[in-house]
Amino acid sequence: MAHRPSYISDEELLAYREERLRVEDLARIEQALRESRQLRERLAQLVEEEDRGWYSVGAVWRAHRISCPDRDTLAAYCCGALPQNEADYIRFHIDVVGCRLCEAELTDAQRRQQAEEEARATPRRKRLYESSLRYLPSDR
Amino acid sequence: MAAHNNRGDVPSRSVSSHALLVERIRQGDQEAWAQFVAEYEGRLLAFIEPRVPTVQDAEDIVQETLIGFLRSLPSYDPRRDLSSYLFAIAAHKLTDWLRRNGRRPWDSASSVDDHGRPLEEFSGPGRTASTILRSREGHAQDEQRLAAALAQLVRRWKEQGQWERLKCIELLFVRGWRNKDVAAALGMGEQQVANLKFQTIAQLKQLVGNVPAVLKLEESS
Repeated sequence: MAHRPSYISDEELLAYREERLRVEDLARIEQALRESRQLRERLAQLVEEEDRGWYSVGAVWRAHRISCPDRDTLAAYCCGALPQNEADYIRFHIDVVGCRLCEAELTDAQRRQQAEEEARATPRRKRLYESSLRYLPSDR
Repeated sequence: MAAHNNRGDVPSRSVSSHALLVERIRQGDQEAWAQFVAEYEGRLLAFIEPRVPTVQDAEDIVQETLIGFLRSLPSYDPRRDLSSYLFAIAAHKLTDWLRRNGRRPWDSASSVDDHGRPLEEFSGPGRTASTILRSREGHAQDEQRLAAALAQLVRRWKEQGQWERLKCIELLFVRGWRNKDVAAALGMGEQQVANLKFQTIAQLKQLVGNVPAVLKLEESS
């Protein structure tokens, strides 16, 4: 998916403040805030509105993680065990919507899987090494 | 109230087991705390690492997050999704670190309140300071109803395999993109996007009534 708008929406400013976007998006918004007084003023206005108790549908969606897949679904996604449509959606939710919480949960799940694989592989490697060692050509 | 997954404020098997874990932690059970740290440190670290220059910085912020969680335990509502709550504390600690390190010079809010006490109480979206939450007390019920309605719609779309609709609404509501950009991103017609938005707003109004956040969405259509 190539299309991305050139503007920064109010929801994106709020999500930036909540650290709820992917790092690339945060960096882009950070840069834009440095360069644009108008954008900084817009952000300040949004914060003021929040302070008065205003919330948007997007803010509620993010805070309650309305569409985030649960941990079991993410684990199934990691193993490639989800139907194509659902897997596509999770990729979209992380890459396009930019859900950094799901990205972090996914990274953690992948690291745990690697660690488990490593834990299984270590004794196997040792056993294979030791059982084949006596066939190694001896030093000349 | 029901939801598709373990998120939000919806009681579920996972939330119940987390509530038991939190109850044991409240009673000072060290084994429960070790289990908690083992379960959550990895995802917190993965959340923070990309935003700070060193692993040590990330680990420090995770440590502050865990301490923040323990300090907030008396006010934590176990019906809340634990990971959302922890991530909210982590985001708060992280933004505080970024601010201290000059990365957010335009952002003056702090993670301590007027009396220097940490602000660890989170019950709503957006800003997390308790002073702000107080201003929201009157809105809390609307917010819960709205969250439940959104969860109900999303659950239905997922069950019915309406993934394109979900993608469309997520870009419109969560990213705040305009109809034409959502249409271009998803390869849909602009009118189709407008229709989905209109239908969803109508469904939300039917479920929660004239909540200001929904009315504002309607205005922007």
